[in-house]
Amino acid sequence: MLTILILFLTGLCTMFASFMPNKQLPKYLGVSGIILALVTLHLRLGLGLDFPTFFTMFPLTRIVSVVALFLLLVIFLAHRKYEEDYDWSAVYSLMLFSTCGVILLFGQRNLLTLFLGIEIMSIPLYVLAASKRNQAISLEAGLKYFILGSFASAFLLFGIALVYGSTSSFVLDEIMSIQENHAGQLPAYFHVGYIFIIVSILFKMAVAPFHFWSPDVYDGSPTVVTSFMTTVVKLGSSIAMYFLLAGFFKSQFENYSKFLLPIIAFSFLLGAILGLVQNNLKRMLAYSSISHIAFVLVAIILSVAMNDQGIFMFYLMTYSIASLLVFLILDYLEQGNSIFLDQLNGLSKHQPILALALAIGILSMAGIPFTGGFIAKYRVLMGIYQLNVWIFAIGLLSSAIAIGYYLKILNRIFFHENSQENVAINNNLFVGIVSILALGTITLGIFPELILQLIHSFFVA
Amino acid sequence: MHLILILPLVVAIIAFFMSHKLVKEFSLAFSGAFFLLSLYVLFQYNPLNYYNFTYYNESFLAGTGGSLHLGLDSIGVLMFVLTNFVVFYVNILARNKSYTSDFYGCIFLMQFALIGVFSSLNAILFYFFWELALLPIYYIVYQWGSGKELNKAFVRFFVYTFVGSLFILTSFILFAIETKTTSFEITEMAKNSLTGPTQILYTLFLIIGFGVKIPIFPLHSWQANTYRKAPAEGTILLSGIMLKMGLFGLIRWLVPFQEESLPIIQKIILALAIFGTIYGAAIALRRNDLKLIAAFSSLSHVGLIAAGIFSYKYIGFQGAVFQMLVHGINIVGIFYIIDIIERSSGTRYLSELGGIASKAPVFSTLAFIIILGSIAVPLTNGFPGEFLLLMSVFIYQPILGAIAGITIILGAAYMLRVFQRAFMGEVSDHVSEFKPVSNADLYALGLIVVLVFLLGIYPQYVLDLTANGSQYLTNLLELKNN
Repeated sequence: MLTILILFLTGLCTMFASFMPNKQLPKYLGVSGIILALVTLHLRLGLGLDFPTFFTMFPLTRIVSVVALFLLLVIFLAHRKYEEDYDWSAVYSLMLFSTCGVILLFGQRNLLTLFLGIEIMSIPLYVLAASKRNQAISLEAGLKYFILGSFASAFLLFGIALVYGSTSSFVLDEIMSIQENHAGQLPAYFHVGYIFIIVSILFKMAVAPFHFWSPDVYDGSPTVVTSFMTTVVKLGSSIAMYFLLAGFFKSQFENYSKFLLPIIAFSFLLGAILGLVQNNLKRMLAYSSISHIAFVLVAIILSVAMNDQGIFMFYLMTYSIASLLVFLILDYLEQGNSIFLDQLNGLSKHQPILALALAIGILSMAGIPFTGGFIAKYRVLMGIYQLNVWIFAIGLLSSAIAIGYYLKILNRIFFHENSQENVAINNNLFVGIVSILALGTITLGIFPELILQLIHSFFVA
Repeated sequence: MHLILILPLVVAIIAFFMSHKLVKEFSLAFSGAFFLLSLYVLFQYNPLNYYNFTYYNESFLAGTGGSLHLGLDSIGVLMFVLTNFVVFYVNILARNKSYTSDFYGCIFLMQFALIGVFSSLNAILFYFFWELALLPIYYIVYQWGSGKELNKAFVRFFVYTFVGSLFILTSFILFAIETKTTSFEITEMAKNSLTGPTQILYTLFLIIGFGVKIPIFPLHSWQANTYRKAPAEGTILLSGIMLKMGLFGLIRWLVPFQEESLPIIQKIILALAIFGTIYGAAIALRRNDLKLIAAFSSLSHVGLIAAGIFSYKYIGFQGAVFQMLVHGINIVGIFYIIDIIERSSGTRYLSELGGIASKAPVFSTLAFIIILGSIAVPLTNGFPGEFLLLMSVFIYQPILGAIAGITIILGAAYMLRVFQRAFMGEVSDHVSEFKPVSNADLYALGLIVVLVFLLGIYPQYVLDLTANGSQYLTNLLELKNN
């Protein structure tokens, strides 16, 4: 709870810091706020307030909070400054507010917390997506996201209302026991409520066929915001899904995972095939993220079925790190708001370190051995094989297809002559952070348990 | 063992960041040192222990069933020496050209991965190194390849090999899940075995996966174009050592895990392999491009090796391992010769060559001996292996053996055709400006010639070394069949 409070206060301070003459102040404030939040997690400080039916710090909550805060910290430190006089305080504070919602989702015990978390997470995002006010594409992204996102929220609320109407409870544990004890007496609209809730979370995760907003929003938003969306926000909605499946839906798990499997198969194929024809990198990565999030969804189902949180945590972590790495580099290379394939031409000639780091990120997304992505995909695929052979085959096929477009990117980086004028990058901090992320990706691929163990021993045990 | 493995990686990282001028001497010196080191390992090898130089560390790839489990058996140790030999020759050859430092980095990275492939005793680790070995060669082929439609050849190469490795991974997963083993250690895996349809699936997947790399007949269509487009160093790596990965994979990961022999699959594969042998040789007869001839001759030779493995006989395994080593040495020699011809005369097309012997007599003599080795004339190194392989196939099925025997005649025909057209006869326009071959190149070829005779006259040393490995495989099969 204290962590959320600190983030919230930091967000407020950052917002007001824009009145100060020092333009760097919001950044320093944000960074120190995040570090303070990490310290409270490490020292296990609390407020002494307890909301057992509302919000609990599970061990899982601690781990994912650390990961999310770390990702946010990296975004704050490493993003590019567009224009010198651009006022970043609003972006920083909105990201911090959104992260509050994400962390709320990490510890939810209650459908109201779920709704609150989703809303606190999403509303700043609508603004963030439109934060390049002078560009029509950004405004369009914001508006689209807002309208569709509101629909999803309405679905969620309606679903919660239906579930409450049939069980007269918001608390996940209570609903679970009611389901187990009075399985036959629940009205049919209880299940409709179920499906509404799941669909709204699927929308937030951008799983096909609820994905239509994601390529447009990814493309239209400023790349910093996109990187925030693919990492922290994805983490939040995926964990929300995990809690729903692991707690709320446990007794009906068999049925609901069946309902999810076709969606997963569809997302696998859609993400892989539509990504092939994209020329715009941000759109391409949006499709790749649809495919990846389907993997996360499978991993969640597996984790629930096998009672092992490791599988989906590992997938989420490797995917977030790799995609953060890729988006941060794209953020530096882009001109205007979009980045196309040919802007990567010959990157390895004039920016060898960035090219290598980008390649590692892409390889990890493609799931090539010795990067974290391989281990993650391998563990998931190995699990799915026992669950459903068809999903296994489709998953394998989609990763093989998706390699096609990852290969296109690598091809541009290494084998094409440079056609653009070079973007000079002399930001040592940026290069350092990118190298750390790349090394982290490789470490995840060679010593997979190491990083989770470190987090565990620092923040949980 | 882990030190031997890590050294090339360290050198690779250093080479990546070195200046382009220094890196040439640096990598030549180190690859030479590695070659000597590998010979030392070979002489230290103790055939009484099955796996030598073992090393185990479980934190590596933890959570996937993988671990860092290394060790060399007698087949692995030969391949390990061959790897170092080939890398050493690649470095000698690259001396004549101006490559940037990332080329040398790739070479050593590949050496690291190949040593890993030949020494890993864990299936996941094996797959890990297998994939890692492919990455540098993709880069080398694409970056320094030449010729029209390089892109097309590359894409085909990539798709074939990548899909092939997916098959390998799938079959390992299949094995683990169907036998309910949680461990991928070879010693643990050998305790279990598959039965029924899953075994057929496992066998087929592995044959497809490894067959792409070997290549076995219907999966070979990436090979010729890639060899032609790749730089000479890349071709040497591909043919000299990378196709041995596939053969080695069959011996290490397929043969011991076959519970009941699968007579139908065995027959089909043998027939395909022998068909590939004849097919490769027949095509080589008609080609004009020297590199293509070498590529198809390679297809022909490895077809016979694969046939020897799939005859599941002691002499088949012996011949296969011996021939793997010898083919590695000879094909390096042949591509080296082709590269010298191309550098000196500016062409590698048979129709434009002729009369090299009168311009460069020493070079031609050396080339002739290496070609004889490749034809498998008695007293050269090609003979014992080919003889054992043919005998093994013959014992399995006399008709197939007889058909396979044609390859010797065809082999002599296309190789002698090359020699006749390129080295003998009238001096052609291109050859009239034949630049003299440098002494270093002659010494390098000389070493291969020494090996051609050494292994041809005294093959016993190698055969004794691999005897316990082959015996182990044969016993395993007999045990399982009874």
